Amino acid sequence: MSGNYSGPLERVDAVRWRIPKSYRDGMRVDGLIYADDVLIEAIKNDQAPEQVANVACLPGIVKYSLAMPDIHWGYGFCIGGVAATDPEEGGVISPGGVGYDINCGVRLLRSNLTQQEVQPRLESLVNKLFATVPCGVGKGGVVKFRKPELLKLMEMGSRYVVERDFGWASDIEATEANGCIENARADYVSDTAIERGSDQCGTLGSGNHFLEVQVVDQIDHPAAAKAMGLELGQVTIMIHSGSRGLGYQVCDDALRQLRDTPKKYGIDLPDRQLVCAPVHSHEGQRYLGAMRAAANFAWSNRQIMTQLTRQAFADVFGQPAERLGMHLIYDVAHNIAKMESYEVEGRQKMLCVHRKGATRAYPAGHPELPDRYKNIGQPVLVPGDMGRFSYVLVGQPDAMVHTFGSCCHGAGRRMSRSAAIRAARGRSIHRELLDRGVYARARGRQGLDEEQPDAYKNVIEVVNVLHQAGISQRVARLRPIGVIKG
Amino acid sequence: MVYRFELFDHTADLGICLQADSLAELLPAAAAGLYAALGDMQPMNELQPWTYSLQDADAAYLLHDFVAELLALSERQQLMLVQIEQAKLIPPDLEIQGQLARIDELRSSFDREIKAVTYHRLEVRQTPTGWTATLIIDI
Repeated sequence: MSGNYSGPLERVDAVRWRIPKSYRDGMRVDGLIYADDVLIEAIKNDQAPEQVANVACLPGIVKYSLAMPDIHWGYGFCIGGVAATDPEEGGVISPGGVGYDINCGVRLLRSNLTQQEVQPRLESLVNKLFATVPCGVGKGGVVKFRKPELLKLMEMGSRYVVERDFGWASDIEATEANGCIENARADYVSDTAIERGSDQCGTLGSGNHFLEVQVVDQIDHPAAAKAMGLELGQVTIMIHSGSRGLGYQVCDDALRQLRDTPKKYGIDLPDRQLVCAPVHSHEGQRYLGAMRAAANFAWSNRQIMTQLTRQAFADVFGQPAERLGMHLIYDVAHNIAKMESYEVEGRQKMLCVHRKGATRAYPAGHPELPDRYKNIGQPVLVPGDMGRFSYVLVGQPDAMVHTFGSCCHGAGRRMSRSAAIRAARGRSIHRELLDRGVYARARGRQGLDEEQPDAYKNVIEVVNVLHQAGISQRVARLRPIGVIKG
Repeated sequence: MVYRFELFDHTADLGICLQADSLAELLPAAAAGLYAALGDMQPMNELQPWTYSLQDADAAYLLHDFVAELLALSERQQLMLVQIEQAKLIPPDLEIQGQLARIDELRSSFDREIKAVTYHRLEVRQTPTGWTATLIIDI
């Protein structure tokens, strides 16, 4: 029911394609898609480029409506979309530019363990993780927070749960924004959202969320890998989850509240899902405050799961997590809007950067980076699929010039969920993963089928486009050996 | 009542296409489509009456909010709508009377967590033979 994109795509260079603003009335800037010759053909297979053009219509948008090479059709914004708006020029905030899963993101833990040490106990480790980290549809967590506690947690972020023994102090500085966006307004979060989130902090969820045990398979940037404590053959753990029902509800509430707002401010939009409000308006500030609270909830969510993961490893290997060296390498958000400073036409400006399925990628020297990453750049975590690879990258200077410090967030789907289920008929995805050396546990009936490796683009192709464009640099490749899914 | 629904692909998400003889009959079609998208939902026997009403000038928003309410009921209270006794959908009014039942967790299979009902391609349209609607749900 979608059809292929048939609008203009003008080649800029080997890895960039432009949708000129002359394509449609209302576009204020060009669209710019990062892709090579192979990926661009796949990108044309749905209406994602049309969504890039739609986003170019947002008031106050600066430079381009951007899409990363993992772009695919979403709702409102495409997945892989980046847009920065200038509040001083009437720039807007759009909840559709963040998505329902506010601060969906990824974190990576290292360990002192090698694959040789883990392999004999892999099955019991994955089973232990599956039993310890709550996952699956509607699965409640090990902690149920009362409303006053949740309000505090949403204002403090990771620190709130670390102070309650769900983590180590060092985890905080290894988290984007130190696990807490300032000016969060928990009082703007509805009771419905709080009810949905009360027992979900510390749960993985379902869909494409996962916890993976991985092995460092290749090192491309030895100095950066060393700074992160990564070496060949070492076991790492990647966690992908977001703000669960609380975040979904915050987005849903905002979209309802903002239904008539564009009309109030005289904003014409090509898609209802792009409803928005000027950043400086009461409506815009209200959404930003609630969105930040949900983002802080998401960091707490991943933080609790981090500690549960450490407990599971400690139980299986009979050593405390500290001795196993299970430090957090980094945690990045990939569905978020943040106020960030960029140079635009020779002036430093504070912009509202929407990342919907895109990761922040600050280069070396950026003042927001922790000291240990100041010389190498921010770690960017790019999960692939559960049969092939994930990547660790670092941000590069050109990201600040061209993409508002943004990079891809994953491989990007190339197959719909139903198509993936159809493609899995008569096969055992579990068996096929085992043949690739991956032991997987999933709670849902169709989880592994929908998320099978073939459903995704090859992450290597996605990562290489941004490497070639100077947006990010490859550091290490991670190969999955154990997976838990909801 | 004559209605039907069909789930269709939307890359990472899922769409529900509804068809019905009347505008009001889109409501049971939407409920059936939502439950099919969630998985194989089986109710328990005990029923509890449910009334729901809201107002909006736009039929698409009314349908959206009705499905969002059913989603919230299923997630927060493990309840599903099993019977519709009266349904009115004439913008700006949506009124519904029916029966809810608890979802039988032992007999049900939850295939997907639905994050929300989106506004993307949200549409309610009259056709020569009745009414049609489209909803995209975020998985």
